[in-house]
Amino acid sequence: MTIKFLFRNIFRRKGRSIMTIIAVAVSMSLLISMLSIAEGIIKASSKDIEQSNEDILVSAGGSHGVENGHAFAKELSEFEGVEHASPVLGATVSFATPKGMMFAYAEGIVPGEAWKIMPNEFRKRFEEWFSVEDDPHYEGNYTGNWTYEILISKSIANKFHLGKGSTLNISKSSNGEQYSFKVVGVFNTEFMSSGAIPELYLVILHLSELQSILGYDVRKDDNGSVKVIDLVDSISLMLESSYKTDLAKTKNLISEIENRYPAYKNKVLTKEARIESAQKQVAIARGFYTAIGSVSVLIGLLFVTCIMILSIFERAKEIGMLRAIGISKFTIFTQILMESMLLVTIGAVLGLGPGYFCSIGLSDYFTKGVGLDVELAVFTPELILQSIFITILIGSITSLFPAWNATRVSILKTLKRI
Amino acid sequence: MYALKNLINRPTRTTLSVLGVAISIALTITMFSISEGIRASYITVLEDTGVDIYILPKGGNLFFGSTYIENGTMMAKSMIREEGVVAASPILKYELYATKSIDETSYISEVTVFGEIPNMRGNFKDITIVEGEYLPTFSDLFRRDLHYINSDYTHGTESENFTHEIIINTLLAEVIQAKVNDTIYLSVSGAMSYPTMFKICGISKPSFDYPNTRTATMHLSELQYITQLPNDTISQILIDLKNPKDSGKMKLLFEEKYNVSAFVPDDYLKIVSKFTNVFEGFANMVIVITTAVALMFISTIMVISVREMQGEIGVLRAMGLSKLTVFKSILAESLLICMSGYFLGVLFGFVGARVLNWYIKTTEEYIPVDFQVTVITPNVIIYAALFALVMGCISGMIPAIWTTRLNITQVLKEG
Repeated sequence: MTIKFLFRNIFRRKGRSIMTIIAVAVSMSLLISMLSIAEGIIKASSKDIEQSNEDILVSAGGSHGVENGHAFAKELSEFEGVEHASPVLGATVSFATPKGMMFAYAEGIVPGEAWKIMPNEFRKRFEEWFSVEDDPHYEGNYTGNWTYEILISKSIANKFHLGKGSTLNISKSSNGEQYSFKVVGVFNTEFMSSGAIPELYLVILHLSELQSILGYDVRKDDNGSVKVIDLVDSISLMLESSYKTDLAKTKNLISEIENRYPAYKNKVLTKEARIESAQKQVAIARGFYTAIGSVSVLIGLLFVTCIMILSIFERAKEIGMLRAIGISKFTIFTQILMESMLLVTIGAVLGLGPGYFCSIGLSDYFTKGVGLDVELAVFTPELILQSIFITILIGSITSLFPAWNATRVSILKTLKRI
Repeated sequence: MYALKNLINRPTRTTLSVLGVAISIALTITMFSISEGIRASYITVLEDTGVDIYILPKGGNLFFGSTYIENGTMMAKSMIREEGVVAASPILKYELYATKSIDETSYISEVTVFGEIPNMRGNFKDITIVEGEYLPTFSDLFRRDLHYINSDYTHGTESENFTHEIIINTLLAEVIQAKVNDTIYLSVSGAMSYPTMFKICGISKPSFDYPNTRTATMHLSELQYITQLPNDTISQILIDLKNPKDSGKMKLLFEEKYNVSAFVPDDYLKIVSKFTNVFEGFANMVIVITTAVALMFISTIMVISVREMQGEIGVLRAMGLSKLTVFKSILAESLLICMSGYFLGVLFGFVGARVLNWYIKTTEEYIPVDFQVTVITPNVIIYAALFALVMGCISGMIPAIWTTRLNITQVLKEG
């Protein structure tokens, strides 16, 4: 049974075969774009972690739970295998604008350390950086000088006409004491300032200054003495290259850290663990989008089944004759199955192109609609193979019925009709 | 009758065509049930909590974050005095760490703590106690204590006005293995420095807003004191109005008079709608594509069937049957397929929506317990019926027009 023979049979009725192939191709394009978007969502969820140089993250499991952030980071940087350690604190702050107070997401960092572990991809977002690389206000007990330097997101700069050299007043609350900062640079974010997510404002400042604004620097103990508490969210560790590639070494390092600081037991995470956790949160997308794509493919393949059944009905005489001259039921079954599968395969392959453009369009629609500048369309060879596999799998199941139907053509009845 | 007879005479292709339409309709219903479900669940929960206005710090956003308001209790008390306000409850939200005992073996968990004043919370139903009771000391006693007034932060927790009462949710209770009447310790740091002891008076179920978050509730002044937040700092004020219909008017009044950002439940729903609209656009695209496939399916089958029947149609036309009658009969066949597919599709759609609801709720831990991911409303059913009708008309139209153009003489000659 040659391909030429199968093609001849299929295209005996050109119109219907072309319609069937188009239907399968359209279904396939929807399936592949659904799988592409699902993969894109999963990839996007962990993109920042994957791109980052944070090989290990030490946190208390929640916000601002790591005590003595500055000193702790210094101690961690002295562990063998650790190249850099950068403490980070994230919080919301109010800032004054001519339209009244607004709120912004603030990140407190030690600029020199943060820059060292920042991947090149992220560095591109910053055209300017802090002029003071360390954190002078900290000085062990928060008595050092303030730099009052702040980096602001483009959304703040554009909305309130601010730029390098402008002044921005920051406060812990909408009606509390304000601290005057000098803008030293503007940076880009992945928020598009359009779509369902509103205009989000971001600022970056020296860690100790943010801590002092929020009250995360010191606290009084029961005796009234002021104690340094130095709360941060987490400490990011960048490892030496020999540790980065050796999981056993990384795990040993984690054990060492956890043994020395038992309060952080099970809260010292590898990059892989964080990627897994981030992807787990959106893993549902894969099941959901695959189900939608598969249902669409099912409709297309029911079409193939129906067309093949009609074809068998019309070719009953031919099949009867073939059976009469000794062609086995199995050969008839295989021929019909192959014809059907050929229709499915042509449709599946033709659906790849539209599927690609459909996924690009969908990605654009989602990102603009939600307001995030991320790429959701993922088009890999694995994805193409997966889509073709799903289509051929459902196709082979739905093709069994017409193939089985063909084997039931009665030789006697057919010959009587001739 | 003639159309029905024709369909019955071709059982396999009719069944497969009906199945194709049914799957397409089921997908339409399931997709639309998602955005309807999300919207309906938010409306129900917002109505149930009884909050008519959410007061946030100026510039704050109900979904995306906000900062603090200082002198919040005084502001809330002033708001209660406004005409038409039944209750104004100041709330402070703060991230702390909790453990059952201060030793190295006890599990330390992060916890989102809400500080509130019991006798100012009115009839809000945002806390559902499943064991024990709500904070038994109804007033915020410690607020009148000199330790609090002077913000001295020395031995204030030893004062008899410091109640140490706390409600924790089931998620926290489970992870730190605590029950009603147990004592737990709270600290601002994950290393549990400067811990304060509390006694559990009640266990609540996770709220709709924080379905997967370990939370606790205590007296506002006690939370302000242990976090050393001065100047009566709060995060938001919940307002209950005598007449909820006045919420729009009162929102403007609060924003103008108190320099805050105020949100009514409709604002909340508008934000939710922005996300569901994105999903609806996507759902429409999926539906259009699957409907197009189903349409190609039915049209092709109808054309093939009509071609097979051309001799019969020629005889009928020769006997005097009008073009319109033949046209209507073919159209009726197509409509019958699509409407049968519709009814079967509604059934499949109900099953699909149920399965999807179950699947998402069992696999996605961030979905609140009371949340219905999918809800099939009459609108969804009507929308799907329109789709089926349009599908039936379009797929029947091509073969029906073709029959009206048949050359009777030629068809009869061909036999």
